[in-house]
Amino acid sequence: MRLSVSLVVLAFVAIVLANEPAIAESAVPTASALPWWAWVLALFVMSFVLGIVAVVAGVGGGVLFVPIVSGLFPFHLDFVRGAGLLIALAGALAAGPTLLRAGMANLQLAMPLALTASAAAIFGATIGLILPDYIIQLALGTTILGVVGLMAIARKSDNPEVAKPDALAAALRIQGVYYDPFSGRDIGWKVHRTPLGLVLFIFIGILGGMFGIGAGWANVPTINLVMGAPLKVAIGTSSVILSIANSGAAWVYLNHGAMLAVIAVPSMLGMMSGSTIGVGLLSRTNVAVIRKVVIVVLLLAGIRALLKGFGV
Amino acid sequence: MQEYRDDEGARSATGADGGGLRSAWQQVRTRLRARARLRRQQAMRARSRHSKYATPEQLAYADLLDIGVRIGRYLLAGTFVLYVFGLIPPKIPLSELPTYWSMAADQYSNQAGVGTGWGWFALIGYGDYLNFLGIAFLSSLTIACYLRVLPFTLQRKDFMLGTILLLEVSVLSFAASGLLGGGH
Repeated sequence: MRLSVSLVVLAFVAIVLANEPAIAESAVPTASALPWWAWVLALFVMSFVLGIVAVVAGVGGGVLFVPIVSGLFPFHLDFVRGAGLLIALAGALAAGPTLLRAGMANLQLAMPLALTASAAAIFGATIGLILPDYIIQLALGTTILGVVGLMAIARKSDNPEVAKPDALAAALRIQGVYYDPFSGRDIGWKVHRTPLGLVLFIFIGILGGMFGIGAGWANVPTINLVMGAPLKVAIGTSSVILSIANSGAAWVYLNHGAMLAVIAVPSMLGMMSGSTIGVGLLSRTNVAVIRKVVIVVLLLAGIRALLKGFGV
Repeated sequence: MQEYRDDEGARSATGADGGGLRSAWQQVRTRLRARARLRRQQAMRARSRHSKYATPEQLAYADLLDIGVRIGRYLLAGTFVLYVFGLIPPKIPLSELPTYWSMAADQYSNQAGVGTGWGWFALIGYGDYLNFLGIAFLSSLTIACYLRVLPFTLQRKDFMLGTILLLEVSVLSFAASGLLGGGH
């Protein structure tokens, strides 16, 4: 596991340094020296490794995929963002049924938040396809550095104390019960500060749609720390919200021709296969170490995106 | 071969192995039915367990999503195999892709002659655009799941959630319509 993570870091640094001129010229269409299948194979392998790392580090695949693949591969950022959205969408859709049946995700909680998030994600995706590349790179770099900061300092609360649900949460009957296998008991929950959560999901949706990075990194703290849902319910519900919000944004990318099957499908297959392996490795790896490595890799990817935005 | 024939087999079987095959088939069928019965019982038990933690509409949403994701996954993998192995010719030859994938999306669409909106649907006969069927299917699943849940909310007169459902369906349908403009 440490080897694979080290390989990601080394590959990132090495390829960034080696490909500097090629990437800098990517605004002008150029043919690559490598055959198409070599890039597709490399993309599959990279997505597979990122799939493992994403699960072990507890972050969404899209947030790793977009900055790293856009930095290492000769694909235009539009296609990478489209593929990133699909990765997040496929993962969230696949996890949905199990989470919903077990009560780890809650539709009453997801639906109002998903409505603001999906409208915002569609807006973000549309804006992202209009803005010039350098602005998108600058914004992506800033967002990724923000994610790094959030990952480094964010607290988590397993079962936050909510004295009384707010009026909107009560009207929407947002509450539930889930079974916690560790404590062996049913845990009831309710939420507060729903209007603030709705406002925050507008910003989260815009960022998710604009960069195709999913938004689990922001969804979970908002539902858990701001609205007061238990951590497990926040993680599960975040996945359902992602599946809804990303559906809208994916249509925008699809209808704008910002998807190439040869990039999107191997990425999705690689990420799904890697995630399956990652789940198996979860209990045997030092999650804290992997998380630190991911923070370092994202830091590098964020700086790289910023430099590309500044034309360096 | 005679000892394998039962009465029914003796009446109808004309081939040498007819009775044996029938007997083997009956065994397989019995086992398949038993397994199906067991699966149904397990599903019923799981459903009754889940009903404590999830509302009926949440379970209906999950069931439809489950079926949809399976279909979408096969559709995606199947169409990609047809494309990448050249079984259905692509619009852009695979060897020429490195020239196109570094272009911005609108530049690529212009050069490939795709256009925006549902222009891709007219090219569905090409291997590369056939893959968009799976992507479009997965992207539409949420709309189908929302429509599946809508009758539950109307039945229990939860008009607030029903309105949210309808708004979400409208938002997603608008995104799917291809009416949104854009491009660098």
